[in-house]
Amino acid sequence: MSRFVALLSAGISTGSIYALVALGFVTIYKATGVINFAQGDLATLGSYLAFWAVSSLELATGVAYALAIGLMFLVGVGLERITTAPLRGRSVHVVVIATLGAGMAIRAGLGIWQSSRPKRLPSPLGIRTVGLFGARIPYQSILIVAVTAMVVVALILLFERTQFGRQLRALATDTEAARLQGVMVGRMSMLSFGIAGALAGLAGVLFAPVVSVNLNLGFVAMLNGFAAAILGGFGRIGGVVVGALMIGVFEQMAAGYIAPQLREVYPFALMILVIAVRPQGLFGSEIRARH
Amino acid sequence: MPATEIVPTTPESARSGSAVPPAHRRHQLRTVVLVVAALGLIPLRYGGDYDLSIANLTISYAIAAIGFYLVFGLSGQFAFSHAAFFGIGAYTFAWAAHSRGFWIGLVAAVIATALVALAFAWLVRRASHFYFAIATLGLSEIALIIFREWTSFTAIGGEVAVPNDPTVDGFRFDSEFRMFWFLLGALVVTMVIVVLIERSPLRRESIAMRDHPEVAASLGVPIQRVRFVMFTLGSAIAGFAGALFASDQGFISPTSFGVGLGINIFLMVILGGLTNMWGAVIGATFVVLLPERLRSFAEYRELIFALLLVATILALPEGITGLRQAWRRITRRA
Repeated sequence: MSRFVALLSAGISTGSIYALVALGFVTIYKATGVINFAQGDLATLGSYLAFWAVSSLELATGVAYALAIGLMFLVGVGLERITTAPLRGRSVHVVVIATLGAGMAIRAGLGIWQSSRPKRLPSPLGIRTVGLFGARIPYQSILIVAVTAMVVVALILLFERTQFGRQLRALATDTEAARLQGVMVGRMSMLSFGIAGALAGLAGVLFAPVVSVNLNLGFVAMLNGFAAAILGGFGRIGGVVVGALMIGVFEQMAAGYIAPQLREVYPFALMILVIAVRPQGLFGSEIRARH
Repeated sequence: MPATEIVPTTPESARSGSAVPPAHRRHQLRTVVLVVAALGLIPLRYGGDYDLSIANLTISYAIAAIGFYLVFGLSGQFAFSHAAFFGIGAYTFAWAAHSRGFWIGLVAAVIATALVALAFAWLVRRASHFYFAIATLGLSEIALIIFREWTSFTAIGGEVAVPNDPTVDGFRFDSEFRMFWFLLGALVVTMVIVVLIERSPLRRESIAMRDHPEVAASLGVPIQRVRFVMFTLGSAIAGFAGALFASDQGFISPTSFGVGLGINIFLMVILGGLTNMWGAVIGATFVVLLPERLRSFAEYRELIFALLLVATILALPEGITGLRQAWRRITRRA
């Protein structure tokens, strides 16, 4: 029982991270029809910025995290200016490869700036744990789940209740019609990249105390985020979050009970299976297929 | 299939299509002879073992990039799996050649890669563009973990020594110089296969499928089959190149087949130009030779490659081979 609870809680907290990363590129996808393959590297950059703010600027952890997330919003906007804005009207393949190249550049640049050795980022709650059914659950896991829940609620309100969300949904449904109705495509694109950058930064600073600050932190989270988004149908926030939690729990359970050395394989195998059997995702997609 | 050529109408291909009539573009065997003759002069000028090892590496990558031209350039399939198929070829070769020798190993590598590619393509046949891309990304991650963990197939940590040089009739291609000629022969075989594909209806069917899948399907192009054939063929060529790479290097480890190689393969075909296979060859040469020229910037290598990829997409959408057409457009206007 204690083993099951420990695996379940680990699964839910890593699943929350995957959800944050996935919500970032789903937001961009809704606004622009492009998938941002740099999303993972943005999360990595966020964790490095937090590490830099803590170790070099010697800020308090909470302030450092807020600074990192704020900077990541700007990085997201900058990424849009470089890789997406000049390529509007070109094939989406080209834009996707540009984001991929930008992601690689971020990772390589971080390797040069901070060396590729993994670093420790302290959790704002320290290393304390709480007991539950005999399992020790770190406070950091609880923090991850709580923050993710708040962000998801905020995003749902943003998408459903604000002018921004209404325009975003209009763009996702019919880009041409939305533009003819006066939706500012360029500004929406920039804003969506900014939000995605901030979400990635948040995912990075929450995940780094669990797995250490390393250059592949975000890339692995992004791959699992893809799996989550596909499982959830790519459109609905709720579907993506449920998909992410399923991926996280499935990964931990399979690694805990079947073969731990293949831990990273399970999410991808599940994802390919979903694409093979039910390409519209488990809950259907609200976005029509865009090429 | 109607007898008329379906002219591609995406902006990029339409522009290059108007500069060089397709009928001219496809007389490529002459170019194959010229390229091979030019490459054959390399040992005269650069005969050292080190220079030749660089040339050999370039040829292995060039073969893989030509395969990717079929997958991405000609049939527009956005696949990250090419590096993984390169690796599957290399590991299958190492496993089979260990007990059965070079030729059985080579054949096994090509067949195994083709089978995996076909099975995968069939499995995700209903996936749209992005889902296909993401599925291939998942496949390449799975392949990397299998290389590392399936130790009875590979070795501890996936690090395998491959002592198998090609032999023909008792003659061993055991030095860099001899291997160079063997690889050049393999490059010619690959190029001739691709030239034959480019002369066949498969070329125009692929282009039609890439640019207008619905129109192509309504005109009777079997788009699903074309997609399978091109993906399997291109990936099998990657497996072929991977086997040659393993034999030439004599040692393989999973790090050789990671995302880095996947990006480099994209860089090769995009930098060279997507509209014909020469772009793949030129791009491969560039990607291998550039770090040699920039050896004092070794730690910036990956950063330079990544920035180069973005810069190429932004500034040189048709790649290096597109420069000729661009130049022609400029001079005609003047």
